[in-house]
Order: sequence, then structure tokens, then C-alpha cells
Amino acid sequence: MHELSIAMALVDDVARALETENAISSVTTVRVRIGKLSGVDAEALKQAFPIAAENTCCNAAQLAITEIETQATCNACGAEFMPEFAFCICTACNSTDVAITGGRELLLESIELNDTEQSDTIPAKGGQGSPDQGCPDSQPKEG
Amino acid sequence: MCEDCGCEQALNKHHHHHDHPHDHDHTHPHNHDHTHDEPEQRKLVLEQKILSRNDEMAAKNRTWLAERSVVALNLISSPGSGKTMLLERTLERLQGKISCAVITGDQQTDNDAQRLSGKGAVVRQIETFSSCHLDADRINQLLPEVVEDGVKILFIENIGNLVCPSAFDLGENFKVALLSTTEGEDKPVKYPTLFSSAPITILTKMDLVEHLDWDLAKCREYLRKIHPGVFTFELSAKTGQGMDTWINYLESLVM
Repeated sequence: MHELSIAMALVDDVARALETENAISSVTTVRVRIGKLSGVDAEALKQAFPIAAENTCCNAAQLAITEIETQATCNACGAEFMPEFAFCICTACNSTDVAITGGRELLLESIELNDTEQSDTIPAKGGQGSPDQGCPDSQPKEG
Repeated sequence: MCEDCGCEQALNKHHHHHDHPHDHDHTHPHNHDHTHDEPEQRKLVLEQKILSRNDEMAAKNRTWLAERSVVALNLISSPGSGKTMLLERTLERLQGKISCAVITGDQQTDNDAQRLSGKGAVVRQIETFSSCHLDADRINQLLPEVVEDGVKILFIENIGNLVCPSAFDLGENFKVALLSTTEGEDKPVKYPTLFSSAPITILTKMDLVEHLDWDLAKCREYLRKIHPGVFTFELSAKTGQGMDTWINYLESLVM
């Protein structure tokens, strides 16, 4: 249900990264990593992304999602294991004194761009990109 | 759509994929030292949190509250689990002892703010309309007017929803999950995102247990399994059962 907000935050982050890079480009792929304990549903995010991307730098981008399994470390015996969800019990010694070490990720991993080649005669910004480059409205909208 | 990469460019624009060599087996009279403005594929590695903007605002809120020695609790639960009722009784008990403030969120109406008013705390309602959670920006806008001088505890009553609000840091000191006895004892394992991250879980409506087919031992076991070390309160805001422990705990946070 909140995946549209997540998708809009994602598009916003991509726009900020492009600004930082001074990139004249269209984004072809946005790669994210989502932990199984992050509270974000990958399918719902896939559906929300094109809506959030409309009229932004991500308009033509594909969203690639890698899901991360929950991981834990046992504080009693030190074993590292993947808890049999949803029970956080050490698979080696049955202790419940365990710490979650992975699975809460909600990360923008990388973006892939179609850059216009730079030369001496092409200014660093403006003039060569497609009309829909950049994100004119990068403010988060209602989600 | 391009069959090689699936990108939309091919619909109206020629583009290159540079994962293959550009072999030219013909000869021609010009050389290849010109520049061209064909798009080049490039990858930017970012490895950053998706909600970084919300997290930055949450960090600001946290600093703002810490500078004023205010403890902020973010109350999250499903609708109807008793967040507002617990706050009503809590404010009544703390009135005159500890100065409190409340930000309460709902999709619509200010019913909760009305219920919580007149109990000695500044109360502000946020109506989110289409949104299913509060975010750090909304809290930031309200902090200066809701947290008056002398306020020690800020209660943030989130939108009734077990999933979405747990993803958004508001700048609170910690999240408090509520679980009512009418919801079933297995909610912690059904909704692990919240219950595995909130350091406190309050079991509410304990006065109803005798009328329900609800197993307290099983609920405790589920909670411990999903969140070893979780701190739990078992209370009924209606009858007052267990409220002393909760109030003592809140007092210990700020006194």
C-alpha cells in the first residue's frame, strides 16, 4: 500500500543522483535491493514504479529488484544463519538470543544511463538531452 | 520496445548496445576519428537508502527533540487496537505531573484529536487523506507548534496500519507496537516487520481475554520468537489493569 510512496522516493533519489552527476541522460534501468523484512512488497513496487516515473527522468526506465533473505547471527553460539521465517531461533543451538543482520535493506543499488557522449563543443549541461530529461518536479507527491 | 534491452528508446530513436563489437566488414573513404552523439551506456553505483530524504528529515526531528530533552514515541498498530483509548487514559494519568504533546494521524476526521483534547496536552491532528502512513516531513512541520516549552513526552499516534508506517522513520526515540487481544495471538508472526523492530509491544484489551478464545502464553511465545528481548506490557486502558506499570515506565523515561 505504501509502495507508491517508496517508488516516488526512489524516483526522487535518482533525480538527485543525476543532478549530482550533472548527467545529460535518460535512465534505462534502476536497480534496487529489498530485504524480506523491509515491509516493501516487490510486486507492488514494480506496479507502482511506472506511475511514479511518469513525466520524470525515469519515464523510460525499467525497475530491477533483487530480494534479500533475512539473515541472523546467534549471540549464544555465534552461528550465522537464515532464520526459518518468521521464527528467529538459532538453527544450530535453538537459542532465541539472536540478532537480525540482514533483510531490512531498502537500497538504491545503481542506475544505468544512456549518456550523450561529451565533446569539447557540447556543453556539460543542457542542449543535448532528450526533452524529458531531468525531473522538473522532484518534490514527493501524496502517496 | 527494443528486443535487446527492453528499453523504450527503440520506439522512436536509434540507440546502441555496446556489449558487442562494432565490426565493419566494408571499406569506405572516411576515417573513424569523429565524435558522435549516440547515447553511451553508463552505470552509476549509488548504494544508498531509498528513503534517504525521509531519513534526513527524521534525523533533523530527532536532533530537534533531543535538544529539548523530549522523548518521542511512535505508536503503531492496526485500526481499532486501542491506541487512542490508551492515550486518553495515559494523558489523564500524567496530567499535572508530566507535560505531554500528541500528534495523531488518520486518513480523515479529527475525531481522535477531539477525544484527546482537554487532558492537559497540546494535540494536533494530521489528516493524510490518501496516504497510509505519517512521514518525517509532516511531523517536522508540526513540531514547533505542538512541542511547547516544558513538554517531556511526545506521543505520535500513527495511522492504523500494521505494515506501512513501520517503514518510515519519523525521528522518534522508538516505536511502540500495540496488539489487542481481539486480533489473534499470531499477529506478531503475520506482521514481522513491525513486531521485530519495535522494542516495546503493548498487549491491549486484556480485560476481554476471559471472553475470548485467546491464548496469552502463545502470544508471548510468538512475540519472543519474532523478537527475542522485546519489552511487553499487558494492560487494559478501560479497566486500568496493568496501567500502573505503563505509567511508571513513562515516568522513568523523563524523571
